Amino acid sequence: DDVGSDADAGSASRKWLCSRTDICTAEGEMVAGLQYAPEIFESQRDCRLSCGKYGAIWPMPTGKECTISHRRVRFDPWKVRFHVVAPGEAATQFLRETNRLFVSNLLKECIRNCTLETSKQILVRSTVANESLVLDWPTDESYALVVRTTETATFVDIQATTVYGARHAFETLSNLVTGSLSNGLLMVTTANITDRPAFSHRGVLLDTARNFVPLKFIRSTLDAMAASKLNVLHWHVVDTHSFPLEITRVPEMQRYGAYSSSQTYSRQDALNLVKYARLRGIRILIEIDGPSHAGNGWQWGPAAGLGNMSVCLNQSPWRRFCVQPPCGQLNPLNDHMYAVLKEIFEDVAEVGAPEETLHMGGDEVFLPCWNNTDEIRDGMRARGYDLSEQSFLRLWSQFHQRNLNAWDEINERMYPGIKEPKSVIIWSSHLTNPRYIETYLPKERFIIQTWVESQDALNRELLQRGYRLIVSTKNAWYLDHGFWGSTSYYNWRTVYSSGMPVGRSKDQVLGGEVCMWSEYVDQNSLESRIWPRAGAAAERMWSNPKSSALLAQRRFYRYRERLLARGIHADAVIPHWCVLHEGQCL
Amino acid sequence: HSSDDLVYGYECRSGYCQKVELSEENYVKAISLPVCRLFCGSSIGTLWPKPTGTVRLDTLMRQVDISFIDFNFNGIARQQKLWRAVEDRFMNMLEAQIPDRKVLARGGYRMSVNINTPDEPTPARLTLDTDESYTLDIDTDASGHVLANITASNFFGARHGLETLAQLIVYDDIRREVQVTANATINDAPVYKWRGLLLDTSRNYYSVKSIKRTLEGMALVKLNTFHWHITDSHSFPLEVKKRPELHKLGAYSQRQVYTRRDVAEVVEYGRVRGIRVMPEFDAPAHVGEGWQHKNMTACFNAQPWKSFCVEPPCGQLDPTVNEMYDVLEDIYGTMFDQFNPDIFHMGGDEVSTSCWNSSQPIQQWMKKQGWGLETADFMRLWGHFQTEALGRVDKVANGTHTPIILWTSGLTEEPFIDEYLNPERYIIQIWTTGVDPKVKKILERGYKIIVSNYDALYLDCGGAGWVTDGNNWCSPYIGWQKVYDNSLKSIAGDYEHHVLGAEGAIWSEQIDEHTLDNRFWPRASALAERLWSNPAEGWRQAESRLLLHRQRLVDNGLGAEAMQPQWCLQNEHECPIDACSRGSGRLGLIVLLLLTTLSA
Repeated sequence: DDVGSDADAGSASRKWLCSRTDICTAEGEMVAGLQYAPEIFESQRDCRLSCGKYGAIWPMPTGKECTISHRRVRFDPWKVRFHVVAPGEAATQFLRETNRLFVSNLLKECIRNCTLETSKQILVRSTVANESLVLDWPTDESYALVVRTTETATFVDIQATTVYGARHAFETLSNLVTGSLSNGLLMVTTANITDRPAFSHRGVLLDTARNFVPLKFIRSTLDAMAASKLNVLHWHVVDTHSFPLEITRVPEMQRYGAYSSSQTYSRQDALNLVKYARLRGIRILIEIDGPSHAGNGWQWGPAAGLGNMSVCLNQSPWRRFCVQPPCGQLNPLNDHMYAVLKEIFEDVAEVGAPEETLHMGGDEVFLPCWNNTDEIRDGMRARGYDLSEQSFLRLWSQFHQRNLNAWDEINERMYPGIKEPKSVIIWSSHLTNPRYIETYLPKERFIIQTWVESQDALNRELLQRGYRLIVSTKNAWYLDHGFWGSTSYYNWRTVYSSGMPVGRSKDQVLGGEVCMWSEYVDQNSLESRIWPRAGAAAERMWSNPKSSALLAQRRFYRYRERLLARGIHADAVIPHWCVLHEGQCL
Repeated sequence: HSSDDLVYGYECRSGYCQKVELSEENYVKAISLPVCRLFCGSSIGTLWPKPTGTVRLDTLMRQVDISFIDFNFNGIARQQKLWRAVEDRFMNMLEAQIPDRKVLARGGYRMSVNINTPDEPTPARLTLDTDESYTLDIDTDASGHVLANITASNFFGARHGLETLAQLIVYDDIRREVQVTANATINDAPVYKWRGLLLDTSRNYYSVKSIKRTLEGMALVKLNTFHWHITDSHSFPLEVKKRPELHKLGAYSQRQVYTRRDVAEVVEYGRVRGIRVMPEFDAPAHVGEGWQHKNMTACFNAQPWKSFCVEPPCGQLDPTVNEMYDVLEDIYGTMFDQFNPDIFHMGGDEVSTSCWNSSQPIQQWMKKQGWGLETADFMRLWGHFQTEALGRVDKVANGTHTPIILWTSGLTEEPFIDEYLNPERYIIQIWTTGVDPKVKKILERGYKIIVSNYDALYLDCGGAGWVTDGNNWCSPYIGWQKVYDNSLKSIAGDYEHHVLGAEGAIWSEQIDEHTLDNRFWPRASALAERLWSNPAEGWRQAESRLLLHRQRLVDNGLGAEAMQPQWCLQNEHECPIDACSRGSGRLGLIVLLLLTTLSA
């Protein structure tokens, strides 16, 4: 019994009106001097469907066309009929599953009873031009959605290039529907919407290594992402703290690295997640962090005769060996480590979609760790290196280059049909300093995920040098902030207002990700930390709006209520009185 | 025979539980983390809150068959139903820590729990005079039968003893056994009588189910007062039988109302857990929704709100309307009837004199009294309200002169406090900072106080602003460490004996039931130990114990926030407080350390 879903149930006798300033107001609370549209709505949510150019749609559509009528059709969700026009069997099946998910989401809008004997017929036709199920940065996610109503039925026409555009159209269509206080659901009678995302990479990073996150919560994160048209789950699955992921080629990683035998992700779990995500228009991008942030899970090397594959492992005092306990950094001079890492990459390549790439981490490498390790110092001298910073950076870049070569070899063998070598993603770090990056990291092969503050010059510098970026602005999009140290909580308006850098070409900034690092978060606070704030970032990345968060707030509150209806424990952002009394809490 | 899925166990070395890889050699003596923590290092094991009397815990653990635990109540015939509920809860807690009943190893000894408490002639009711102390003795007889004896002077002490006993019964995941400390003696009593949590259910509604979860968490840590800030200007979610329009007009929806039955359910749920549920009716300010059409309020939803109150919507009772006191009496009557409070909270904070001053009828009424329209005159109006309202409380309380709590406000400052608030009747709840000089002035006058200094105990702090941009008024977020080290003695100074205790609070502007658990817990546990034990040591000595306690909260259904990566729970004392990645300036630190090292 979700208390949020009956927010208007007690006001059945009241009617609602939409003002010229797009405020939904209950009858009896109208403001003198304000003008109201003549239509009368049965509830605030009914009013909100069409009050304002974008109604209750989240994220805001970006096309020239966005019209939504104030009139409604009443229907039973089980009376919706679907027709799929798609060129291939795979695309057809995908869209049939999309239809099923859509009905499931409609049912969650029901207030009391959705059965309706006199239901209007709703006929939904979705037409997709391209049979491909590939979801990558070039994928066309645009759609056109037309709703029109005649005497006999309401017709919904969805046109998209790919199945992913069509699924986004269904998401928007669910935003044109709300529960009626009496029976059935209400849908707008006419709408005409064209839409496409501003950025092709719209992500959420989820760290499941510092604190384990059960599958159920990863799936609900994916559900919330789907509701927000976010399309990348960046799975920071392992770190020095734990290695919960099964690697079939190297079972020791999970066995030694998981917190417990019940806190693991099997290969089948990972495969199921990738499939679950894809149906929701979401890629899963797995990050295998290194050379730093690699520790527990790598302890078994010496006993297996492979030497120290990770060094500084769990060392004390940690400040001498890393930036956060426990310590652990891969040994770039140990060939066995590279062989094991390649086996890990091979498993990851098998689990992911053929077009998917890999995030190789690469942040916060603590050079004093290597410099405090005898075998590394000795090994460097044996190779003719001195122990200067430059030499360590060179060693670090060789680590990435060797792994890139391994990744290329794996993909050539496993997916010979994909001609272009895949670029890999790494975090910004000392190695991506503009002074060094062109020496060590070729821009054609490495995409940089930056995590600097909004005023930092790094984004501009890297863009000028031609690198492709994924942006995770630390002082707005690090959603773990505000609960530790001297960090601040970022309210949804701060998240919304955090802008994206502009590249030399349109596709140079691929997009961004909000980040949920889990030092202080596990399943118990995960959803309320991420949502609904990540939705604010979703509108930034989908719509890249020029308008302010203030203008988006009423749509945003309704978006939060939809998340609650779908079982997501989204945090409250305002007293409920302010949701019900629009414009009075400024 | 090593289990295929277990790689690690624990050994006690140098006072710490060390994670060790299991092998043929050490499998027999390796122990699970909860068992190890029970006796390794700390003399009180994993108990939370820390007992204040003697603690003797043997290192010997005995396997218990939880199908054969029986309870014996000596002379408690009259309260059988109450104790049956306590017993059920106790067994649920034992089950909660077992991941899967089916894997439980066979065998184990019987256990008897004997409760020694005098029979009480009236239903158990927690008051300021209740002695909550207890003694717990665990012995094992010749046949291996475990005997736990709990002695207390009343129900509340005894239930606290049971709570402690539940913490001495742990699951060993290596042997898949439930184990209990074979021999133990604990004498325990709380330092502070008032150990509370406040929940605001007006700004955002909370289901009864979520409130019960909070009460469950409170019981786990022996907090004893649920301060229910049930109404405010935003909504009136309480059913008042004689005035049904209050909730019909005032609730966010008619499903979001605490009915008579709901209240009874919550009150009894609390009682079984040793918790008083105390209602607050905040007035004369913080009143609005529900009072429409009565002409008994001033400034309701007045705009611009900044001129008339501290937060929208505005709303204040009009003290000049006599009929308003009749409505107030009906509200008070409902609260006394349903809650049977031993102490009643009348709110009384954040009154805006400019609100009253904006009302023509109020101005005229004051002139008729021969008063001016200065601030001091409106303070007299406020005093008039308080006096009249108290009269109605006494009327519905049948002259029992129930102690009254008020928030610090303009009325609790001189000269008004001396004129209107009798220190033998009123308790003052402090919400300003711990160093506010007004606190001393209140204490000097002989008032008892309850501490809720916002800089340590407002657990909603650190969130977003909502009528402002940026963060909320009392940011930043308060870590558990600050809650733990919030010393009531340093706040009260020489008047420590006037401090009844403290309350942590959640004001719900940006919190509702979807976030409730992780905002209260485990920080409220830090408060619980401060109030029960008043430890001389600071938070550092409690950290590893709290990490394990937090797991217990989670096992019992509380969505408690994570405090550290789980690695830190499994590697004791390896994660000091300032260790966190991706903090500001971290990159600069790396470069600095790098240059320092390389240049050496």
